[in-house]
Amino acid sequence: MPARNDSAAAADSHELTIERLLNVPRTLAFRVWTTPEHLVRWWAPRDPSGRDFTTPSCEIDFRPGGHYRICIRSPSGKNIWQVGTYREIVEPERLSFTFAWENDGVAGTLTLIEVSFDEQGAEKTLMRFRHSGLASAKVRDDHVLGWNTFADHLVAYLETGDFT
Amino acid sequence: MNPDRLDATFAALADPTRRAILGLLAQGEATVNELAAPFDMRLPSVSKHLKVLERAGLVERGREAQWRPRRLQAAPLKEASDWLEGYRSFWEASFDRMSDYLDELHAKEKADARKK
Repeated sequence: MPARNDSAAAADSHELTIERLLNVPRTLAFRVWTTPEHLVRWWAPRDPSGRDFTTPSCEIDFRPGGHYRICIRSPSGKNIWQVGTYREIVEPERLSFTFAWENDGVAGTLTLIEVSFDEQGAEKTLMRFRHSGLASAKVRDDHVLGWNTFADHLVAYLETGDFT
Repeated sequence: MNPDRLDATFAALADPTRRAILGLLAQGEATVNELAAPFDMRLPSVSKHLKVLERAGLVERGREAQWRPRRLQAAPLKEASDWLEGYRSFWEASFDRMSDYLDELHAKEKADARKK
């Protein structure tokens, strides 16, 4: 049996996938993923009481190999930076980019995000989202984001089902 | 929270044999012999996998000296799964916002097109 590298295997083995049916043509869906003026309108969650995080800074160099750096601000005013590099861009079908939280100016463990957009008729788009390499990023993310508290609040909020 | 243990949890879960062993232990405690039975594997290999699971705090040894049955410890599994669910919630909430924004944007673009 060949020797195993457990940490490398772990890095590959944790991912999450999300599918969303969007009521817009895929050219539009692709655009809101790839243009700063649109990204800042949605790229961050809401807090448990339904207040939106804001996105005070979004700099992207949208080409393969180009970097991006986005700041999200929690309703209590904490700035959290995200950084990465675009890998594949096939407009308007799919894109992929690396993703990491930044702490004190230093990027943490890189994970990978892949998004694809499939036409479902003229006015609908099936978005498939995959975030992989997550296991290796765990400790770092907990540290940067206060992840467990954040997640608890978010899950509690989502379970109320009151999104108005 | 112990970061080393969290790393160990994810590393331990990365192997299909170890996940299968955890599956067996989820049904109740078992000895090494009982755990080895379903796998085409020698006892020392099964013991090695068990050691990884024990280091991660996922499996604990019973006190009965002779049989030393292993038991599942679920707490680290929950921590790992909570963390992944946190990521899911993070993105789902962002995509909720994106859906709303897209609907708004699409309606506006259609209205603008009609005006022209």
